[in-house]
Amino acid sequence: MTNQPSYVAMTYDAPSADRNAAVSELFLAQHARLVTLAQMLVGDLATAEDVVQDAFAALYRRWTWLRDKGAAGGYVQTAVVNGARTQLRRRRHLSYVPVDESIEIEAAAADADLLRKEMHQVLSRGLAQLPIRQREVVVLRYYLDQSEQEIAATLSISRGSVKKHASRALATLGARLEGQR
Amino acid sequence: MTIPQDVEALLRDALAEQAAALRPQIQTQKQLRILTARFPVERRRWRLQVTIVAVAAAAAVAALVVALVQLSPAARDRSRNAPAGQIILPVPAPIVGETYMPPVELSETVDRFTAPAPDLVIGRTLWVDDIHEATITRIDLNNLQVLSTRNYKLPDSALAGAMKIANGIVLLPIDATAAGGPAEILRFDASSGRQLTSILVERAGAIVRTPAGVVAEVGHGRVGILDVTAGKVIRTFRLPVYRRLAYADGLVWGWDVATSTLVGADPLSGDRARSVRLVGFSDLVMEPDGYALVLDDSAGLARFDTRTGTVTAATSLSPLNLSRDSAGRLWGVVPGRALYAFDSASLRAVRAYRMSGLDLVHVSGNVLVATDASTGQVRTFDLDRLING
Repeated sequence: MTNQPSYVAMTYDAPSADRNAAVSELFLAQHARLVTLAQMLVGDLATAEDVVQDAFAALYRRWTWLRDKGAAGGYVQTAVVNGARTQLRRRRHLSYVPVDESIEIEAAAADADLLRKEMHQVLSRGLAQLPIRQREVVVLRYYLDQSEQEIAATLSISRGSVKKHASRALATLGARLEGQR
Repeated sequence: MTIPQDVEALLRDALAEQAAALRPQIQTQKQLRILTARFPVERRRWRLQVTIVAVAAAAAVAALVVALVQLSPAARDRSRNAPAGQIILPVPAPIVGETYMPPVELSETVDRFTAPAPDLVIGRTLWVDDIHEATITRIDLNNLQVLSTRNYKLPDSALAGAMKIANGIVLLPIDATAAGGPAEILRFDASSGRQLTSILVERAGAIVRTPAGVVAEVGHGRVGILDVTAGKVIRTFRLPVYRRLAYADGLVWGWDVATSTLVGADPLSGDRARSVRLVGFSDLVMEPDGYALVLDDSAGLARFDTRTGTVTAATSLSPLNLSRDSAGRLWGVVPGRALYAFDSASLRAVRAYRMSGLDLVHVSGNVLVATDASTGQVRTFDLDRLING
């Protein structure tokens, strides 16, 4: 009788321990990258951290149903992108990119490094003001280096739609850059 | 359209630089501790989901299964709350099978938006807020003709609440305090759409109508009774607010996200009348339903009876927003899944229509208005034909 409880506990805890370890390991490996991805989509770090937490919590809940554990990274990344979109729609949040006030246009024109920084800032602000879908495509393409096919799979849209959103986004961002020149 | 050739290279650089600047602020170990602390609660939620699958698979005997499981001692394990004896979640409602949306879409569509929110219908006029474009657009629901579009001033990092109407004035809370900007409640004339002077506050976001007047978030942990006609705050009282306020059972309800506590206050006196801990709930949205509140966090809906302090129904589905039809059903879109109609008492999904590209919904009479932020569209559907097949 004395052994039975420990046996029951082992059969119950062993899968949980595996799941805890596997999800924690994936979290350590992917967290920084996914928080950055989420921050680029939602615009603030606190919300980005919440989105990533919820994505990993969902992964944890569904871990035993995940046939291909190797696909967990892709699953959680898609969950982050979807979670970011949900947050933006629920909270009706307009993304925010802090402006580095120390950069002055005059100085930037005289210094290549400052000019580059200023152009980056124009692009970052422009990115934050893109419609949600265009922003997602741009971040997946130019931050995560995903192919059109991978982006289409992540966002559950066609490759044609990916091309359309990317083209419009680049045109908008290009126009913003031109406006600064 | 010609794209400057260096845009792509600049974009890669800009995003890499943004990532590098962010990296020192990311505290992975601390976040891992937060996540692992959630594991026990998530295991309980997982059991909930297992139960849902089991119930769905046995749909023919669902009622019997539900009754048996509710009677079993194991039902106690289905609580997603850590402390025993606080809130016991009931067995989640079975989920109806999804079908494709029948051809009930009305022919007209408005596609001039970026992130439309169909908050309000006044008479047959739909009011759409587009925070991305900082516009309020009035649309005739009879023919989807645009009646007027007004731009409003929107600071960076603004967070908008939902529009509400009271005394012929439409209110729209805008809060940019996270970025050091202002918070204000914008006012518009309901008949003409003309913008009136704003009500300046310390925080803005949630608004609810009560018999004692319009109650709105006006400061950190503080709400105020508004004189919407004069455009001023009459008096304030303390109440935690997180995204939404609701009025039910004679009380204004707010959510304390830090302590996972639902707090009810008397809007007349401002006195706290009720306080209920709901451990396991996080990102809470409340929809009043008589003496009950339909609570929605990212893990699903739950119906909370304000009189008994119990959760009487639950589902694992978490729609983006909820809108009630004349029969009392709650409609909402679960992203990536379907448009659902829920029975508000049991939270059973009574209809589920697979339809891509919808997000926020608003029901007005026999019209279901749905928006799509991906395409910037406002679409309308014949609700009678949708329900009656």
